This record gives sequence, structure tokens and C-alpha cells, in this order.
Amino acid sequence: MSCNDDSNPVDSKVASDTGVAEVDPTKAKEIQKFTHGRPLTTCRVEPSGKYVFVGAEDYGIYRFDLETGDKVAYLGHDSWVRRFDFSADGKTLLSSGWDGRIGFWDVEPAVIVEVEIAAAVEKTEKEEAKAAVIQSQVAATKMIEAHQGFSRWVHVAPDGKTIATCGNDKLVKVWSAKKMKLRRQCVGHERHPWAVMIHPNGQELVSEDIMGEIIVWGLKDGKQRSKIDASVMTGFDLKFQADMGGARAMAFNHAGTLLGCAGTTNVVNAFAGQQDPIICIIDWESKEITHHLRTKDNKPGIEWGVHFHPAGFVAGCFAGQSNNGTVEFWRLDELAVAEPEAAVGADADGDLDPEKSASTAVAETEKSKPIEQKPFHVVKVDKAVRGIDFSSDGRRFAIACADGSLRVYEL
Amino acid sequence: MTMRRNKGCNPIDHDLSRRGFMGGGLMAGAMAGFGTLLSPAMAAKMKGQQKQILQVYLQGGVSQFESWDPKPGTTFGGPFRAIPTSVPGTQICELMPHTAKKMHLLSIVRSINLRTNDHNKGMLFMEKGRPAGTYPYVGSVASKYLSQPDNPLPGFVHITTRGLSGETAGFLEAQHAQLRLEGVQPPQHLGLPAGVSEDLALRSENLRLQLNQQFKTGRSRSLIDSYDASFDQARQLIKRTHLFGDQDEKELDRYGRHWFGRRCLLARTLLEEGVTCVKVTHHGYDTHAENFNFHVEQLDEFDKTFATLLGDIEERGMLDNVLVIVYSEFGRTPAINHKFGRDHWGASLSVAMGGCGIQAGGVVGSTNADGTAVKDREVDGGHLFHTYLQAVGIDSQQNHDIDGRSIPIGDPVTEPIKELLS
Amino acid sequence: MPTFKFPPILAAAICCLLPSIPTVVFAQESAGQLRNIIDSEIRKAHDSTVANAAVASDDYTFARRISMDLAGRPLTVTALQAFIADKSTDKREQLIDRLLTSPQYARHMQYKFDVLLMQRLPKKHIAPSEFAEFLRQSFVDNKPHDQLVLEILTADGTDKSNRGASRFLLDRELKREETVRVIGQVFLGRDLQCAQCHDHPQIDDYFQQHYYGLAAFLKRSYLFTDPKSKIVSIGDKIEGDVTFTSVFTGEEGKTQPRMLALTELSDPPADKEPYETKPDKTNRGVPKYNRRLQLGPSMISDENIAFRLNTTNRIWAQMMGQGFVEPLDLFHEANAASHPALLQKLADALRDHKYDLKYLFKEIAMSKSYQRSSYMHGDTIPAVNKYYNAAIKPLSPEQFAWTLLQSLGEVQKQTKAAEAALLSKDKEFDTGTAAGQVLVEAKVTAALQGPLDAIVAVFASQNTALKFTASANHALYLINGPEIAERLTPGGGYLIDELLACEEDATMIETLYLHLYSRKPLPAESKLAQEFIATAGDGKLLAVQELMRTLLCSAEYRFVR
Repeated sequence: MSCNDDSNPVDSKVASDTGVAEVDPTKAKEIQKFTHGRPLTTCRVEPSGKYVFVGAEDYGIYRFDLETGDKVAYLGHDSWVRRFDFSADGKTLLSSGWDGRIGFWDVEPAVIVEVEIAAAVEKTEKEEAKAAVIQSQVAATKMIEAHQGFSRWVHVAPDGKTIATCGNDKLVKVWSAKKMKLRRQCVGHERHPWAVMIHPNGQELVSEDIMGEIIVWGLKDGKQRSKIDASVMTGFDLKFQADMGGARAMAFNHAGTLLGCAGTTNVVNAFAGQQDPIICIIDWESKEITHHLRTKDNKPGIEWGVHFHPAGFVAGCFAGQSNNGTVEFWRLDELAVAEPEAAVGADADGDLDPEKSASTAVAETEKSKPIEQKPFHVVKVDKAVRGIDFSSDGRRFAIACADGSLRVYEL
Repeated sequence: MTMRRNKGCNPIDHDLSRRGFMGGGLMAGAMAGFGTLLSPAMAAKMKGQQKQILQVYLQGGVSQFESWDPKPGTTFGGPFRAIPTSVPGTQICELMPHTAKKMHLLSIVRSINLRTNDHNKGMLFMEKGRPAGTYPYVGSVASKYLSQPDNPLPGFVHITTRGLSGETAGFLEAQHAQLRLEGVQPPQHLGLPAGVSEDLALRSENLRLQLNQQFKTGRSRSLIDSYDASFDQARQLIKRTHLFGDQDEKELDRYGRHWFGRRCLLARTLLEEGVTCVKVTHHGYDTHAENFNFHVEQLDEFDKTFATLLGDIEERGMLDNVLVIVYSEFGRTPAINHKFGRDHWGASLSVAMGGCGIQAGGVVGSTNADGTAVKDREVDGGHLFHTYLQAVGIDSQQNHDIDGRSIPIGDPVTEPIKELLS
Repeated sequence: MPTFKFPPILAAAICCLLPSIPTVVFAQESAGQLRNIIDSEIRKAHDSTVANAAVASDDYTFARRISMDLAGRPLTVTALQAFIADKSTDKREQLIDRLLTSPQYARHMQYKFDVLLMQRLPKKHIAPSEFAEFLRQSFVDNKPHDQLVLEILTADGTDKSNRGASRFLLDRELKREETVRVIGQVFLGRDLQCAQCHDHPQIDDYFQQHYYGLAAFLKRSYLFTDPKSKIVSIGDKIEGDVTFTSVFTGEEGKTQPRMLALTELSDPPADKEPYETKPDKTNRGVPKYNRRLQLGPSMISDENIAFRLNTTNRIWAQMMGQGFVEPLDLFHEANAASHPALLQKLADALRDHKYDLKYLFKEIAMSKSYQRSSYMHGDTIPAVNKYYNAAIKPLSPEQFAWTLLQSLGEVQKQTKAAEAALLSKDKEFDTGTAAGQVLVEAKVTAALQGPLDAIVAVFASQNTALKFTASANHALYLINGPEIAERLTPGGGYLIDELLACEEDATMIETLYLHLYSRKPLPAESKLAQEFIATAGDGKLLAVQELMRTLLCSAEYRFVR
């Protein structure tokens, strides 16, 4: 797949200070493509970089060996999986299923069973018998009933000790990673939370619901610490009278200074997919949305993924209303910061009105609108992209597409 | 070429009175005739018990996979599972756990083929029992034949805020057309003009009637009677403004404070006040994108509210006399598109119904294993129309008599689904 | 509904007063005139056992009725009083002529035909206002009706100066089900819908051949979108034939274009170059022989009797409140016309007068049958299709909107403003001329478009074939709607100001009746109204407003007597 359309011809080789090799998103190219028979829902690159796990609409989880192309089916969910994570040691895959369960799977299972799958079409006199299909299958090591209705998200804390999930019972749950024991329930979302992430500091977690309400919780006590208004990410479809919004994906940067929420904005007709994609970047300290990452063409669709690359840029994946997609890259370190508006109460020369208190004036000065940020590079994909993840070394990324293809790119 | 008249039709199928096409007077008839089309046995049974209809219209096309006919684990089944219900052996989608507990009060028809994927055509077929033509909706038919003569409220009230709507009375008298309420808002312009007391309003109305009585003298009355009836309805609504006032907080907690909850609570009130047919529209099912997330949201709203409403009707002893119908204008495609959506599908959809005249706890018809086609007992909007009317005691195989025109009430090419009728 | 006993005083008044309304003496006319043929045919069919036909309407009633029927609104009180005071023996004919040449006639006919042809469909490709203006101008020009129909059926949307004409076909997007049905209904008086899948099950003379014969005219036509301008028009190809199968018998049939039972139209011999413009992505197809362009001429041809019978029936129904054939779109052998010979004569006369609708309107209006009172003596009210008395006719939504605004004084207010505005632009402007009247009418209509649309929206029905609908929503609007309430508020220059300025209640009530009912009140009515005012108890203003509302809500206001 060609990389194209770099509208910002600035030197894009970005050095990092984390030891990650230099990568150049503008040179991203597709190096591998694997096809599964059913549309994919999400993907994650396993920490060692050997495998990519995908979810599919046939309820299965599939592990693709990037070297050999071998596919192993991880079967056990009764519904779709739209989110994976890995244990701290990278040996266990966790899956969050819409059957309300969290699945635990060995990344390198000791036992892989070869199973003959029945042919989909009955043999008639005229048809030759189809060759039996042998599928490599793995069972879960355990399945935990986590939520009533969908279990939408699972996140393993960076320190590996805690797991957070959220689901259609409107609950955010905190579990011990060792035994998957429920530690506490965070109650407060009035609508379904779609994503939850534990902060790298291990003290807080954050979740966002369909209405764009983001709640920050204390990890230890499960109590609400604060709320962030991300209602820009939701919309009430006036024509069909229903809400649609929320975070399709959520991620912290490594340092925990930024939170990214991927989804939609400007809902016109969500039932037809008529809305704009967006990634909101939230400054963690101020809890303010500082940037709206917008796609280059702003075609209608959904932003399904957000990833903070150690090299300093943000990547997202987009599924268009017309079944096309993109992977887009935004530069973070060069994001412009808006000039603060003249302090409220200031006269034409900018001098503060002595009637106004200094703190009020400062607060009003600092509050400014989010920056509407366009990408510095776009990779066009011929199908809707529903998930994205990067390898640990940041050199490659994988995308899960609506046509059932898993595609791997090299930067 | 000689014109030939083909006589291929079954005489029973198209057995219409010749009078029906002789033309006649103006299209305004007399006041509603209560009980004119009931069999004597039914009339006797129903004496003193008004039959009513509650229609819950899931506008946009609810997915049969995500509601009444789940196919979990199949190619097109989607991510939801099926759950058991209060009827052993009957499962519905997990998105309706509260309704599942009430399935012993309902039956499902899973084998409807409307042969259209068009919103308007599908809706009209489901309402009128005919694929085309100017005919009254089932609510208007019910209003004409079931309304108590002394009930001052309109016979057919539709609580909605948008969506496809049309003239519902067809060739029936205007007072049987739906009175459309914008959500739980009172009818537009409800109320007396500023400063006008009830006494003055009464005097005005009396004067108006006097003037009309004079005008009627020596002239054809039917149009004027029809006109007077509309003012009578309006005055009665003005007296009942309280129906549209603040709703009880505890009841709102039970029904849900969202729009659908409020509308269903109003629907119950109107049924209790004797409105013959109350229709509540729940919007938001035309899920070409995000079918599953939207059904989660919409059916979450629908499920508890509907179960509460159904339960209240039952507890109040009304279910024997109220026919409850939950329907859409079509279903949704088996195939899931790239937007996680499902598109229009009129080839195999489901309806749930219960209450007056219906054998509850059953399932009629089925679709094939992957839900791509009706497998057995295929029916359409015409069969359903017959069934609804027969359930409330109206002989749908008789004719309307409109100013000398005889018009079959139900489409003669179809008949009631007899196994649903109790 | 409460039953109501007539107060004795009013009952007595009616018995005493109504029979004394003077009978109008008609001038002697030539026996061969159509109006006389109408009367003699109607009289011939009268039953001798029925009491005499109703007397002629008085001048007040005639003025209101003829103005509503030809101009879509009542006369202004000034014009009414002038008419009443006029002693000419031919004043009724003069009034008819004035109305037929007024800009209000064209506007009224625009509404009538717009609703008939477009059934209040929303815009698809052509702005409704463009089609409306095309119609209005056609009636201003008194375009022969066959010519109008020809233009509507042949317009393809490419004539930029007259794109409105193409709305009939374009905005239905040539979809067969809708297009064939409406062509049959509005031009032929036949709803052929049920003859789509099989011969009509009840009507012996509606065949699938008829349905598909019409469809065949349009089978080769398609919507073309210009890739540059994005304008949608109609293109045509040389391929496409119509076949059909009866769902009952399985018999297959085919047909070329045909008008009902008339001979099929065969294509001419194939040309080497059948196209003037070949259809492709950038060009709409223009074949040398175009089936679609045969539809219009076939429709209006002399051979196609159905066209003129339908046209005549509809005009008759518009004036008389009842067609010879009812429903208007159900002409067939078993649904005989009430006066078949008269219908035929009128239709032939219309044809002979080159489809001049004004001719037909006038002849009907000049007949005694039209001018009868709607009031019948005796206990029996005979069937309306015998025309013993005039039928009361419900106002269409447009008539009702104009009548409301005029009754309350809004039209007069806007007329004054329009005249002043035109005069300020042009000192020579003369409201007395025809051209001046046209300008004033256009300006007033534009100024009132908002409230007109609002009122029409309340009363318009999606089922445009319905003559009358009455719903609680309508009643609530009349009782409490904003467009009325606003104009019952004093100080706005409306009728209520004039009423409140009357020194005597009797004068006020007479003024009110003239404005709202186009007549003076009977003494008993005036007394009743005065009693209402006196005993209302909520203050004079409220009482007057309520009295106005009551009349606005009355049947005499809602229907043309």
C-alpha cells in the first residue's frame, strides 16, 4: 500500500529519547497482509512482536504469526471481541468480549489442537467434496464473567498489578491481576462506558461513556475524583432521536501526561455513519482538552484507534462511511498552542482591569479552545480500518480491516 | 387485440359488492357505529367491555436478529446471544431481559415477508394491511368500530415526535384519523385563548352550535356533523389538559425518564381514559451504521419501559381487553456491512403481540437457520391486519359500508393467522 | 356531543324570514346556450315527487359563492356592497366576468391544479414555486387546457426558462407506480392502480393493458443528471418495451403505448440513425422518435374522449361540489355518470371552445342550477347529485387560509401597503388597471406567504383526493391558533379595531357578518349576538373576540353556502 499525501514537508524523522529507533511515518509501507474469512473488529501486536492478535465477527480471536503466517484460533467467547491487552510479562493475552467476559489466553499455548471444521456447503452430486479445513485452536485458560452485557474494555495497569474493565452494566471494575478478583466497582456513569485506562502512575483510572462524559477515579478507592467534559465526542441524532458517541479507543502516552480518546464528533446522522472522526487529546494535569486531532479530509466516519508513539507522534485509524480508511499521523511536539486571549477584563492595551481579581484573570487567560490539528501524514487504505496497534519497538504497526484483512506496515 | 377479462381470481378473494364501485355521495359519513361489525356472540361477550389496542411502533426497522428472532453464533447472527424467556423453549435476544420475563403474555410471529425494503411502503403495509391503496390504518378502523359512543376522547391517538406519518383514516370519517401528539406535549394549540374563562368558552360553543343548527336546516347534515364532532373532540381535550401535565415522579422512575418512558406512561393514561387505539413510536432503529451499539441503546430504553407498561396493563386487569402489538416497518439484513450496520430487510421480520384475543406464549412461523429467509408459515401485513382486528372482535372479512360503497375491511387475498387467535 | 334545542325565537325567525328571500329573475337567454342546456338536462332528471328545486340564491349568497369558486376567497365588503347596490340586470354576469379576469382567479386555479397534479409532494428536483408560477402564468394567459396538459406531459426539464413545467414527471422521477397512477387519475379520471398486477378485480373495463399502455409511453425514459451542472432532466432511449403478467392467471401480455382502449401507437420504421443525440454519460438521449413525446398529444387528442370527460367532470365538481362521476377518478361503465348526456355535451362544448376553461366556468356559473340556494324547503334533503339545491362546499386549505386572512382584515391591510409601496416607486401607478391589480396581487401574496403557508399546513391533508377532513387539531387551531389570535388583537389595523369602534352593537354585528359571512345578519341573529356580547361577562373586548372566533368556527364559515 503506498504512502502518500504528505502535506507537511518538514523533516519527519523524529528522534526519540526513549531508545526507540528512528522511524519515519512518511515512509510507511505495507509489508504483509493476512486474510481472515470474516471482518475484523480489532487488533493488538503482542509485546515480543512475533504475533498479532485480531478479533473477528465470527466471535473468534486469531493469532497470526508474522513470520510464518500461521493462524491459530482462540475460541471461547460467545460474542465479538473489540479489545485486547497483555499481562505485564507479555505471556497472557486478555480479551474483553461483548459476551460480558474477560478471557485469559496463553500467548504461546502449550497445547494447540488441530480441529476439522465442517464444510459450510453441503456436498451435492455435482459439487466435489471440499477439502476438509483444519483449524488450529486454543482454549482459554480462564473466562471470567466480568459485566452484565458487553465487557467493552480491558486494560492492564503498566505495573501489571491491576486490571480495569468497563461494560454495559455502566460499571468500571478494578481487579487484581494475579487472581482476577474484583477489588472494587466504580459507580457513576449514567450511560455505558466504552473504554477505561489505568494511569501510568497507578493511582487513577479514567473512563469515557457514550455521552462523552469522562470520569477520573481513584484506583485504590474507586471514588470519582473529577469529570472531564468530552461532549464534543457525542451527539444526539435529532432525526432518529438517539445518542451516539463515546470513546472507541483510549490511550495514555508513556509518561501519562496526555490522554487520547478516539471517536466521533459533529453527529449529523449517526445511523448512516454521517459524523466526523476525531481524537481528543487531554492534558492530564489540567484535565482540559487541548487538541482535536482531525483527519486530513474530514470525510464522514469513525476514528477507531489512538496510539501515542514513543517517537512523539500520535497515530489513529479511520473507518470511512464509504468503506475506505486511513491511518493518520499527528505531530505532538510541534502542536501549536493558541495565543491566550486577552485576559478578560483587560482594556484594549491588554492591561488588566484592576476591578477584576488577578486569579480570575489568569484562569480566564489560560482557558482556550482546543487546537484543531491536521495530520502531517496519511496512509490511505482501501477498506475501513477498525483497529491499530504498534510493535513495542515502534517500527511496525498493524491494522484490522473490515474486509477481514490484517495488514502490517513498516515505518 | 380483443380485450379479455380474465376471471382467474378466486371469487372469495375478490368478493366485493358491485355497489362498492357505483360511486355515491360525498366522502363524509355519519358518526361512528359502535358494534356494527361484530358477530352477535362477540358483541354479547364484549358488552360493557371496550376493546382497545396498544401499538408500539419501533420506527426505522428493528433488527429481528437483535430482538425476536436471534441467531447467535451463525454467520449473520451478530454479537448478541439469545436468552431464555418465561416461555420454555422460546428465546429472544439478550437485549430484552425484562421483556423476556413477560413473554408468557406475548406471542411472536417470525415469518413475515413484506416484499418491500421501503420505509413508507413497509409502514403502510403494516398499518393498513394492504401493500398499496388508500385504506384506513388499523388504529382508525378500531376507532370507528370499537369506540364507545360516549367517549369524548379521540379514538386513535399517536404519540410520536417524528417519523413517517400519513393520513390514517383513509375513506373513514375524519374523526377516526389519528390525533398526533408531539411526544408527551399536549396537542398543538391546546387550551383556551388567553383571558377566556371556561364559562365564556362554554357560551361560545353553545352559540356555535346554535349557528350550526340553523345552518343545517334545509341542508345536508353529514359534513356539518363531522365538523361539529371535531370541535367536540377539541373541547373534550381542552377539558383534559391535565392528561398532558407533569407526570408522577415515582411512575417516571419505573418507566424511565427518557422520552420513550414518558410516552409509554402517557399511553397507559390514555388507555385508562378509554382511548380506543394508542400508538407509541420509539425512534432510532434504522441502523445502517453501528447497528449493534444502537440496538443496545434503543432496546435498553425500550425493554424495561415496555415490560413495565405491559405489566401495568396486566396488573390493572386490562390485558384481556387490550391488544398489544410491537412492530416495525421491516427488519434488517442478515449481512453486516462495513459500518457495523444492517440495512433494510423486508423479507423476514418479526412482530410480537399479546393481550385481547391472542393466544400468548406461542411462536408462529420460522426463518431458516441463518435468518436469510422465511422457512415456514409465511405471512405478510395483510394477515397481521386481519389478525389484529379479529382479536379485538372486528370481523375483518366483512365490508366497510361507506356512503353506499362496500369495501372489504381486510385484504380479501389474505386471512387471519388463526393459530394466534384465542 | 350535546344535543341542542333551537331557541324558539330563532326558529320562528327562520320560518318567517327565509321563504321571503326574493327570487332572482334571470334575463332571457338564447335556448342553445350551454347554461340553458345545463338547466334543461338537470330539470329533466328531477323527480316530480320531490318538492320544487331550491329557489335561486340571493345576491349575498351568490357573491360569496362565485367569488370563492372563481377567486378562492370572498369579495371584500366594499366590493360586496357595491354588487348588492348595483341595479343592473346583468350584474351577476358582470361579476363573473370580473372574477374570471382577476389575478385572484389565476392564483386560485394555480392552487387547484398544483394540488391536483402534485398532491403536495415535497421538492425533488424542481422547486414547487417554479411549478406554481408556471401554472399561475398559464391561467393568467388563459392558456387552453389541452395546451397546458400537453406542456406538462412533454416538458423534460431542459428548457431553463420553463423548467417548472417539468415538475409533474421529474419530481416523480418517472417511477412507474406513482407516475402511471397519477396520469390515469388526473387526466383520465381512472385510478388504474389495481390493474397493475392483474385486470382490475372489480372494474370490468380497467385492464392491465390500460395500465401498461400508459406505462409504455414512459418506459424508455430515464432521469439524466448533467455531470457538470448536476441539473436533472429527462432523457430517452430507443430500447425498452413493456410486458406484464397477471398474478392471477399467469397470462403474459405486452403492449405498445396506448391510451386506454384506443389503438396502440406503433413505432415508425427504424431509422439508420435513430438518435439525434445518443445517450451517454455527458448527454441525455434524444431519439428522433420519442415515445414519451406521444403521451401528451395522445392524451389531448379528440379521439381520447376520456380526457375531456374527466376535465369537464372536475370543473363541474369544483363548481357544483359534486361531480357527475364520483369519485372523480373512478370513471367506468358500472359507475355511471349522474347525467351522462349532459356530461358529454359539456365536454364536447369545451372541446369546441378550444378547451377554454373560462368558457366552461362561466356557462356553469350562469346556469340556474349553479345559482340555486343551498337551502331546501321541506323535510327531505335530496341527493346532492340531483342538483335540486346547491351543495355546501368545504373550503380547500388555500381558500380557507385566504378567507381567514381576508375576514380578519389582513388582506386589506397588506393591499393598502402594497398599493402605497407601488405608488411610492411609480407616481403613475394605477391600481384600477388590470396590470396594476396583477402587481398588487403578487405583492400581497408574497407578503402573506408566511401565514398562508402556516394555515395551509394545518388544514392540508396528504390524501389530496379527500374533499374535507375535520380533526380536533383543526378545531384547536381555530380556537387557539396564533395566526388568528394575532389578528384578533386590537391595535393592529385589523377588523377588530373597526368593530370596537362601532358605537352600536347592532352596527358592529352587521359589520362582522358582512366580513365573515358576506351577508347581513337576520334580526334574530343580531339579537342573539347582542345578547352574547351583553352577557359574556368577561369584558367587551373578550366578548367581541369570542364572538368573532365563534363565527370563524362555525359551519357557515367553513363551507360555502
